[in-house]
Amino acid sequence: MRFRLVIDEGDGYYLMAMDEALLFSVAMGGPPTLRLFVFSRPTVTLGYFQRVEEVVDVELARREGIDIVRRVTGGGAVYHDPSGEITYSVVLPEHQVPGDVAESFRFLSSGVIEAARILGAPAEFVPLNDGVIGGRKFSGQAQTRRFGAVLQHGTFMYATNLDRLAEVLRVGGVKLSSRGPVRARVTTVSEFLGRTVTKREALEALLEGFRRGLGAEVYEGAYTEVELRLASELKWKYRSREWVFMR
Amino acid sequence: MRSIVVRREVKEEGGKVFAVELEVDAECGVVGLRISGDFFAFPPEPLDSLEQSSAGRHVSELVDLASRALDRIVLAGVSRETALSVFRSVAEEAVTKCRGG
Repeated sequence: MRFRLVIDEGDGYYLMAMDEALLFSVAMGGPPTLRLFVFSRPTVTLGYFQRVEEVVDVELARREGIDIVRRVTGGGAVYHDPSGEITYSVVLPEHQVPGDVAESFRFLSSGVIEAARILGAPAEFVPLNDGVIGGRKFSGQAQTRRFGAVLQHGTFMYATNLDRLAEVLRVGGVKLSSRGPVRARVTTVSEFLGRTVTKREALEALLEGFRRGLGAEVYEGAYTEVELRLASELKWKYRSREWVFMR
Repeated sequence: MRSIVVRREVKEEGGKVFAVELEVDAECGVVGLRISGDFFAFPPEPLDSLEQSSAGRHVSELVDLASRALDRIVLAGVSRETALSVFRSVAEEAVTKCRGG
């Protein structure tokens, strides 16, 4: 497999819009793409089916300037810390991933698991969509499939502020009773290693991790004009209150 | 007019949250249906359509409508059987509470 690599940074509205644009691009025959990016502002992204008030402290987010963005993928809410988290996206034709959804999560998560191992943390994949170190989550993945293409994106928490994460994300109901408070369930690569992993280290580990994990050849590339235009249009959807608060 | 709201959520071992909130009127007509959680649906649109198309229908039709929607998607994080049992559960409780029950 060959992947175009794009390294990016921006606000959550743009970043999620570009992920959706790339899904359409690959569905139309565009190149399989590995994207590594950093949120320029603290952001919570929500799963497609989540209700905002149930999973985010909206008042705290507003007070602290944390953006709230709904994803096109399912899964749970994620806190993206500009100073401690890198997000990856892998977009490729559906026929290049295992047909079984659970297996496809494992396959496409291999880069992020490998990256943590490169940095020295004994990371493992736990179905359905978690990356864990010592039983605590450092990475979550989400996926969608459209028109014969697959988009999987996920987090790599190398030094996320976990206290802030636990403040802004709400866990209640059956999830709280089955899994316990957020802070006790999450970790970062830095926390596990007992030293601060830098953004540069994390980025290099992710790049090598995806090369190894997917057995992929990666070449540096850029977005096409069509992708940029589509992302620019889609950004308005991601910014809209109708989309963010649709549930 | 008085409406009744019934909500159920489940999380299977190792699975994801799947929740259904059903609002019915006194005649057992569906006023609103909201499906939420951190599960995955491929594609998600049949569940969006179910939320919209169930409005105005009698609650006794809900399980059949839900079953047809679930036939059109692949779920991950919750089984089809469990998801359908949640729809059945909220529909049954709603029927016992509304006048048509």
